[in-house]
Amino acid sequence: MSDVLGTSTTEQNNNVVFDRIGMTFQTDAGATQAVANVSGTIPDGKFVSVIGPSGCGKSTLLDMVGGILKPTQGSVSIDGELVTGPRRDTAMVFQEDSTLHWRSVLDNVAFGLEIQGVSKVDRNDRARRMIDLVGLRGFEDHRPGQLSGGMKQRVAIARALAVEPRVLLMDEPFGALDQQTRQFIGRELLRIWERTQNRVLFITHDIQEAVYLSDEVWVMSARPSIVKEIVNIDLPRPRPEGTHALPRFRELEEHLWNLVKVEAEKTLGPGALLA
Amino acid sequence: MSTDVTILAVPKNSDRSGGKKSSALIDNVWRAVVLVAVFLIWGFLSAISDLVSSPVASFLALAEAFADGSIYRHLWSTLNAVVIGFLIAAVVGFPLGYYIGRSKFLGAVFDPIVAGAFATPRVIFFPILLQIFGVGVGAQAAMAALAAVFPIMVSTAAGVRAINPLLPKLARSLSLNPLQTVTKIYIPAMAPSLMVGIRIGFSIAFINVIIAEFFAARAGLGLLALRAYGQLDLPMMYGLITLLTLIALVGNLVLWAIEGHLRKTT
Repeated sequence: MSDVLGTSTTEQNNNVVFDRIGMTFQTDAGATQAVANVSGTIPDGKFVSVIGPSGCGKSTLLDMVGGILKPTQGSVSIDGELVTGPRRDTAMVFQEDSTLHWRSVLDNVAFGLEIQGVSKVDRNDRARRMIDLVGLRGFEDHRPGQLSGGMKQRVAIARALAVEPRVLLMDEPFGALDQQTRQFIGRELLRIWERTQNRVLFITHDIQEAVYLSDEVWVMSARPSIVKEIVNIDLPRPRPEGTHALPRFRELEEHLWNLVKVEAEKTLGPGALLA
Repeated sequence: MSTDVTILAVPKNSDRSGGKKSSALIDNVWRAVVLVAVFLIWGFLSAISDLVSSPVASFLALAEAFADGSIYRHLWSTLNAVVIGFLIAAVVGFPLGYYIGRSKFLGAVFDPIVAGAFATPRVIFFPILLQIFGVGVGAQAAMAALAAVFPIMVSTAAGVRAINPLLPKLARSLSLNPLQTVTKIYIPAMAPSLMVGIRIGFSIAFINVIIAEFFAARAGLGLLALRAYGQLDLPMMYGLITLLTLIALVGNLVLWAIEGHLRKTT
């Protein structure tokens, strides 16, 4: 990651580049440094997951790429352009339900396009394709209230994909789902990603999920956080169902677990994870 | 007719009819039964007491007041005061409630004040309003506005706070401008709460106009009822009470139906 420490970003044209980014929040209790000094690059078409102990600033990192939080130090750039606010070519998916419950599934998926001023015919057309892609055909006229948690998250994913983002930002998107749904929708996400080939920055607590989905896993340290290690996931793609059972998968999982454990113990106290 | 005291409860998800199926026809039959029972009890009471006018006599007195046109000035005055007062309360109360709900600081400062003001009998301020506006529709409308503004503020603030906190974040990430954020996120997300505010605000405006008319007015149904009472014109008094009940009932039912529809679609 030392290659991004240079000030010039010209050679980073198709990358998402974190340049010594940091975030300090001012609260009543004083200044809290959430993110200390993160540098790294998400190359074009790569799926990057970020794991780390709770409260280590993973979501903060994501919000800074999404342009909804301004870093107090350093910068993020996408394809050579500095991120100064929300961009049209990034889209976010959140952990909890963020569907608009008064709109139909179709109108939810088309929402981002509607804001961008895309005509009704075009946006409905695109929304329908995204609904197909996430496997919700036949539910276009349903309201989110009539859907399960997993289906609502697919609506949110379809809404994010509909704006054809160059960078997809996912903040523990499956965190609120049960284990079964989670694995299923994870596989679906890979299938979709393999077709759209955009960059994904994926925040998760789940090490298995991170290994299964990613090209790279960034392990963040306890707060104030830095990227402690970047682990290259050298598992072949596409990754069929048995991938979890591969010895290499187990190795990577254990390696990551050891890294995370050290950081979690820093936050929670030694031995905290043995209980 | 609902004496819905959970008026300020924030509408949660839409399962108020949870599971139990009740046929609309049977519901309506029972509603009619209750209504008929009310009139039967009224008729019975009028038969055993000289202080109660019979339903028939009351309707006739009311019909006569409409026939000779003497009631229109009063009806107009009351409705005028209610509508103007309510509109002022809405124009002031919705934005204030919105800001109090959105801002932590304003919420901390104003929540106890608004809750306290909501609990005081605001009609006690009517003498001051009379000093300011003089006897007339102005004072009645001001009374209605002062009374209705608090429930509107409280339900709006509660509605803002009940909004899924991810939605403002979504709005920012999709670069919605402030107007779009309000019209495409806040207002639809809060629609049921806003309707509660409108419905409660409307009834409270109505109640306070009538009370204010009891005190001092140049015209109004409250004044007319009080005058009928003074002249021991029982049929007219009961007729007016029935008319006022009907207006409140119909108005509320319409708003209630809109609210129910909004909840069903959310």
